Amino acid sequence: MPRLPFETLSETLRRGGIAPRHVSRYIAELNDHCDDLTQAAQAKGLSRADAERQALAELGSPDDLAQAMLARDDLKTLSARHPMSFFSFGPAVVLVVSFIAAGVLLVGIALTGQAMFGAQTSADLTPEQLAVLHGLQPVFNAFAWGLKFLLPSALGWLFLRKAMRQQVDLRWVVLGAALIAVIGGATDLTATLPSAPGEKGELQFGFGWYPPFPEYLNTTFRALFNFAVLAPGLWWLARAKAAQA
Amino acid sequence: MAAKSTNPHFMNGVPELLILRLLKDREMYGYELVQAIRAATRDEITLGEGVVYPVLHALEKDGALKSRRKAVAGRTRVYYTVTAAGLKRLGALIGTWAKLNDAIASTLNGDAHAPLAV
Repeated sequence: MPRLPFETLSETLRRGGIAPRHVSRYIAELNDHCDDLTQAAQAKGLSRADAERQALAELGSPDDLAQAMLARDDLKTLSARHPMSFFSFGPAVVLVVSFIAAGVLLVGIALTGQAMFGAQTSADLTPEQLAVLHGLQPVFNAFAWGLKFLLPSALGWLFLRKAMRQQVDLRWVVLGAALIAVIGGATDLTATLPSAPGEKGELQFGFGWYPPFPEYLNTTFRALFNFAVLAPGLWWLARAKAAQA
Repeated sequence: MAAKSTNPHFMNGVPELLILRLLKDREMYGYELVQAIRAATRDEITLGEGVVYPVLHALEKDGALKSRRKAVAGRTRVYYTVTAAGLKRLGALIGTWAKLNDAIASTLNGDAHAPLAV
């Protein structure tokens, strides 16, 4: 049975924003249709080779077949229908929601830990329990570092990868990268553990460019660092778009 | 008086109308549907393969159709059937088409104010 020589059709449709499930089924159905056309032509007496050629001609060119699908906005992904919102603000929204979820998770862990220790508040912890808590400080520090640096970078790269596979205005992607770099840089998460029984601990989750002056530099550096991690991806995307143009 | 809006789906709705009407009688796959439309319209309308599948996908996405891959005589094909929502949509499309048909027919028959120049 002939296979459609439309190797680029799938890629064209995906780059045009057609949802992957529609692309794969469309290609499969076109192949089935081509089989049926070939069989019908052979039933009329054509040779196999001629029947396949006629079937492919009847099906139409890859461009015609692509345009028929690309004309349907209702079959496109969210990112294709609303590219500006998706690539500019989508990463920031996902990042903020992730931060909120992380905050809720940390509070949940703290309350659960207190309950497991039989303490009403962190001031009720015994020296042995405090020692366990301080032993977990590196874990918390790693978590906080991941939240401030790894998460914005990972999200940024996920959206960049999506932008690579689709026709999208580079400005929206750059704006999205800048927003998550700033949000990631301006977010701070600290835990002040009680150093002695009777003292209360504190979990701080904040956002902003904090005074005094040196802190501004710290926050600015973090935002620039986050953007720098995404910069190679943006440059790569810009080159790929220029090559396609 | 506010201007009447144009009929943006004047011809765009024809493939949908034909597909829903034929699938109302029995489930069919894409090639079968193209042949059925050609036969039902006595070769007056031939839907290209590039037209029929996007319409089928869109109708399924809207809930007007449902699909399943079925094996028949050793081959598997994606068969489409109309849902209750599809029957409702078919009713609406038939209604719209009937109105358009009447409007065009009355114009051609000279029921409009200006006589038809022949």
